[in-house]
Amino acid sequence: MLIFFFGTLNSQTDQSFFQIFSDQQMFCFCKGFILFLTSLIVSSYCCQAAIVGIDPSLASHYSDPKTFTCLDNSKTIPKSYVNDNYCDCEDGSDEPGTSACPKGNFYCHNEGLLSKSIPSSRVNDGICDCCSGEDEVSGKVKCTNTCKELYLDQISDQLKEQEIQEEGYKLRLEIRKETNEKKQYLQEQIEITKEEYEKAEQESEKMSEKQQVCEKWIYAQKKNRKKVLKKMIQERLVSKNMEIANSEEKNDKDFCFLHKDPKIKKITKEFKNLFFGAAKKELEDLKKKIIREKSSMFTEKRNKKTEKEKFEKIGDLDLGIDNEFYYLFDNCIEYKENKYTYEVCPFDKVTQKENGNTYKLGNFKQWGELTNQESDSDNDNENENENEKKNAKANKEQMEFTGGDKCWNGPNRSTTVLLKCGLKNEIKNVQEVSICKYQMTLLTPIVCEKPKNKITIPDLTTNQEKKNIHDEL
Amino acid sequence: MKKIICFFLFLFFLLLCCECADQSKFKLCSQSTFCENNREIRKNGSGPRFSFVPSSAKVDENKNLFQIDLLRSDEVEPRLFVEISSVIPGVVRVKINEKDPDLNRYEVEGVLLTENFNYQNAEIVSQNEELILLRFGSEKEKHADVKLVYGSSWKIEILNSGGEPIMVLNNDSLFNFEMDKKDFLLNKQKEKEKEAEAKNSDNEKEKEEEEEEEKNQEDDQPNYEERFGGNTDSRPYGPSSVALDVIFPDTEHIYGLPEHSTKLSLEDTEEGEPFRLYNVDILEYETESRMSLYGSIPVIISKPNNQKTLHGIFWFNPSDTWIDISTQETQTKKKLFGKNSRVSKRAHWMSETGVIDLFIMTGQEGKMYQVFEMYDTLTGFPYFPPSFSVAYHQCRWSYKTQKEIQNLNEKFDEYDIPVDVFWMDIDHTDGKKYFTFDSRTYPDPKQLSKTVSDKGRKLVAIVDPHIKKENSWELYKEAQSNDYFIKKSDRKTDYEGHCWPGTSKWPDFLNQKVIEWWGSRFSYDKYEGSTSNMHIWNDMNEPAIFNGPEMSIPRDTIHLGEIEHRNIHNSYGFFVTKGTFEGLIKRNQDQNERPFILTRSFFAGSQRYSTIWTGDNMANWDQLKYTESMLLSLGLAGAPLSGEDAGGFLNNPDEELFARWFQTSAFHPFFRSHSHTDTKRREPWVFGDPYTSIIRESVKIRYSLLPFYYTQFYKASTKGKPIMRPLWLVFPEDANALNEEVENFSYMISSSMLVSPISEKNQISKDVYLPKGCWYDFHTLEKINSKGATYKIDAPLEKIPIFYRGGKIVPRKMRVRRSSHLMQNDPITLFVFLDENKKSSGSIFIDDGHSYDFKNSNKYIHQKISFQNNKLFTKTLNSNYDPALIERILIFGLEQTPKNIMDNNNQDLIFNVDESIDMITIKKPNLSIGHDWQILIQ
Repeated sequence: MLIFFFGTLNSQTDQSFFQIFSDQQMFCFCKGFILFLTSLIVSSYCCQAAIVGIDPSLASHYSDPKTFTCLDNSKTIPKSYVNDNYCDCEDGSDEPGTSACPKGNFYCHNEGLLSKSIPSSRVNDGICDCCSGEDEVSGKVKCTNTCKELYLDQISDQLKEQEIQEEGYKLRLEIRKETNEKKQYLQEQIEITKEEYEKAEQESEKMSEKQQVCEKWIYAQKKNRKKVLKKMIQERLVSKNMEIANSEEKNDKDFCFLHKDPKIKKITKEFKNLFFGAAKKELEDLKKKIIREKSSMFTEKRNKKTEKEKFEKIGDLDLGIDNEFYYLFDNCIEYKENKYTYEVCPFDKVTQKENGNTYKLGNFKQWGELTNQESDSDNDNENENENEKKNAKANKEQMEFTGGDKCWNGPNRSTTVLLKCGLKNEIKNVQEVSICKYQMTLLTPIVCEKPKNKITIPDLTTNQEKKNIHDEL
Repeated sequence: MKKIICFFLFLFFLLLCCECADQSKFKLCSQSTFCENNREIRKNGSGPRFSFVPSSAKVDENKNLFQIDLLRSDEVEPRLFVEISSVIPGVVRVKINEKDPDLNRYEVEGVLLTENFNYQNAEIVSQNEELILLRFGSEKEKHADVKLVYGSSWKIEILNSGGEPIMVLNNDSLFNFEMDKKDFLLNKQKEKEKEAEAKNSDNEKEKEEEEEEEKNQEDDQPNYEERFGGNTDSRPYGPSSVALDVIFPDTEHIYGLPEHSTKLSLEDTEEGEPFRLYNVDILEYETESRMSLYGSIPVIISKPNNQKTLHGIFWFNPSDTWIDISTQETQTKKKLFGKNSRVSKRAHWMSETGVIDLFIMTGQEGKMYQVFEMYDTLTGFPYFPPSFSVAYHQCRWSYKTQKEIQNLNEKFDEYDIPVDVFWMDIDHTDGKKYFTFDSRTYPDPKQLSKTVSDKGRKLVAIVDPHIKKENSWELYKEAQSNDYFIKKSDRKTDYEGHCWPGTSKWPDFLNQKVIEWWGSRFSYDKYEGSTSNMHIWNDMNEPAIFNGPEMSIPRDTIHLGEIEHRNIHNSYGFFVTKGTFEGLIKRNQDQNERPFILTRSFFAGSQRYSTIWTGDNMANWDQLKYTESMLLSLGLAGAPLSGEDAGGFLNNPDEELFARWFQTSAFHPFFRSHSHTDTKRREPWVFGDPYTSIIRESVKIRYSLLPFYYTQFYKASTKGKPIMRPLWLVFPEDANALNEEVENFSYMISSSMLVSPISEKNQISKDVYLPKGCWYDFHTLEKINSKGATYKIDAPLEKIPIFYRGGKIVPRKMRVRRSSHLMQNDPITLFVFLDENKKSSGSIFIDDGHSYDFKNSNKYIHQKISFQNNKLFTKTLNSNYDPALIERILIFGLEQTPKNIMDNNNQDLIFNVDESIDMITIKKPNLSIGHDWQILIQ
């Protein structure tokens, strides 16, 4: 839909409005102004301004036909010295249109679309800095006028951005609904899990008691059987008239020499069953069962504890309006770059995997400070960043992860995750801003804001066209 | 990737630990047999005595060479001979070698420019029982006298025109020429012969004994092995060191012997370690240490007391070399007036092997720079690199991705800091295989090259001489199949060692074919991704080997022709740059583009091919301070194109140190910021204001001075004059200037500007010595009329003391742009600083900045500009290039307000006068560099 729209716009503007500009360069500034600053006063400045490169807001300083006073008031010079390609004023104000002054600035009117100031050193250096090419008139380079494309690109970017913001904001509201509904649930969960944990704790205690009882019983059983065995051997010994007095006080060793006695052997065999055979297994199984039950009870207890702690943690976290950031909880996002795989688990940890090695790039520490941003980061969209900075509420656009695995000869790894508006949770980029310090941009609807000033496609175009035609007439 | 990095970090960590903890990786004199032995000889006077054999003295048919034999006191037949010649006017060559040509020792070829040799007529002027007087010169002019003194020990004196000795060889009989193994073999042979004679009758026994003897001979072989740090040097040829003492009579200061981070004037070493020249990779080197560093130039420059000249000695030997320096005080009763004692310096040279081959460069009174021209005629004038290399370079280990460099390309503009070159350190390669790019991180290097060149900028890529042992790599296979690698001592298998890529091999640069092959790898079709916009950095070319003895290659490894590495060690890095240089020339079809090469290791002659930097320095104030003397020393030893890692490679500089470092580095011939991968990021904007502004200002000052600097580069390449100069070189008659350098580290740029760096924390003013004359503060343009005194100069964080010298004209370009290329057609501002006689002069060189057209087709402008008698005028030496417009002329120190100023067409020029600083500004005089003109002030 968008593309189609621009297509139309292009065909409309190409032939009339912009075409005229490129043919009549001298008038292009004027028209640029007329288009956007309809004031008559401005247009009068414009047409008098044969002075190249002045910022329109400073135009009045250049109005005297005979003299010019440097803007820092350091001296007054003949008007002919202005833009004579020689620097007279310390502040560079006499040479707005040339490269003569080290401290000067050149104003790119850029047809009023994307006007900006550039340092004088960029005038006539062979590089087109103004999209209109007005900074290059020496003939070193022929600049093509790209203002229209740039402007449309910019608008298009802004529109896309706006669209994402709008869509994302809708999503955010929906998410909020969900998380808000969960608010009650979460609070309940804190209670519930706490109770459950306590219950499990109690049960596991009970189980421990039960186990003790059981073990005692098994021990008693064993002891009892031993007694029976001893008694039988004793009986046999008595019957063989071999006096062994006070057998109970004798050591087990004493049985040894009796092993060869066939009857003793038989008795031993019989009772082996009691100690090593099915009867023993019975007891063992019973014991195992108790242990198993105890262990599952323990796991249960642990799980309940984790659960409990998790909800307690959620309870402690600042999850914003309607608990909306709960949306990022338990929601790990993966990102592959070259041979690294990064994973961000918001509120938990960041990891980096490479060839089966996993490095922890930090544990969640806190919502970060926006002022902490590293200056040498790769800012693709400086303006976007700044806008977002202004719109930022609290610290909810940056998460700090610290205390990761230690680097060789370096610090512990740490990561800053910047949250930007996007339609789904995804990592946009990862950089190592300094040794073992990472920065990631995470796109998520949960930080999308309601666009404040709605950008619209300049319906000006049609008006402009009318005006253009009018001017030409 | 991470794993590899970690591995390297780990290695580095190890290195760091080992090296900062102790310097035990590197030999002390006492751990080096030959150094220890020669020092012993000095202490005990126990060396072998040699004397001339007068009857053998002769001049050859061509009258080029004088020869005389040397006889050892305990022998009958002389086995050594001395050869004396004068290969260019004023340069005396003394060579000592073995007589038996079969025993001739290896002499490295390709360092000396023998094509420049212009043998002077040798003539025996007089000869008696005590001495021979030799004279070298043309018929019209004598250039040098050499006196040979017989005695019980030989002695040679090189005389100046007044007949006074300027250098004396073997005055203290420290000459040594070890031939132990040969002695052993000779004795063995003699014994055998004797025995054979004696037992002639007893034939039966003979056979048995002979066999036995043969066995014995092998067992008897003395063991010459030398162990150090877990490595064993087999030394199959036994001790073969050469040593000699050289006296510099009546000389208090001698200089040179780079590379050492010591004071400029060479200090006595008797109490401690000698100066050592053995190229090694030291990660964290200390200041005030005479340990060897990455490069070696065995040159000493002597400044005789109270004379306005310099002499030099070039000890042409690329093996491990130690030099002890000492001071001698001798009583002289000859002169009734003046001093009755004089101070002399002595250098005791000791090299592991090779021959003695000395070049003594004799300067004439009044000519301070003659010695440099002589030395460069022998070893080559500095190369003339493309103009971008004079500008600012941005480096880091490493910019890991193409995107990172593209980002820098934008950031520098955003912060309005000019830059010309972005550097790609080892990580840009595919697994440290040089001549490749990592396709994941540098997917389109050609595009990158174009992106930066759109702003007139360049790339430099690192290419180290260790070749990864990877059988599937085409380059490795090629070298392997051609047998291009250095061999182990077994002479059969390739030597393997550890470096960045892991197991690696080292090409044998002694083989001319290898040099050509190496060069051929730089062709655009072979070096995929390279462009004409990309230049080369040769690092680790000592060669550096992580697991090798003293972090380098074993000395008993074998080069082509069965040459042991020990013979050529210090010249390995030189040959690497030679191959690179020739390759970069040949990669363009017209062979007309000037290469830029940076090297870490160097030897005499390296100036022909490369710029030098001082290696892995550290971010501390001390290192900043000693950088100046390191660079000055290089300049005095014929290598004026040098610089350091601004900011300090290792550790993190604080913002003050970083800013101060940039302020002085901006005046060094090579100006590059570089940092270790473990350090925090430190691109100029990282520190924020005021530091970023200070850095910006420093870089902009450098850019505004580019026309001046470029001219100095040109002059260095034609005259060999240092660009950075100690004060005493410019003011030889000023006794204070000799000490100035020691205390204050001030230096001159050419003879036109004085820079006095701030190298102490929190320092905000500095006592700066200004030799007699007019000086103009660089920042305020205020004049100081100095009588030769010290002035307290303000040096708040924003500036360091810098002065223009009265009597000099400095051309500048005041329109500083994003890169030097974009300033090429900008107009010039002439700064004319008058001396006390209201005179001034200067010159300017202009060409296309990148080709050899200046040489091949004379396409350049070279113009002299002078001010005299209120007249500013030019003398155009050559003007075969686009003239450069002059937009402004500033004249300082005229002390008069002109009525009018006219050009040669009697046109009045617009001017104004700032009386507060005595400055006349002439606006748009409509003149240009490249045309002759004059203007008159009335």
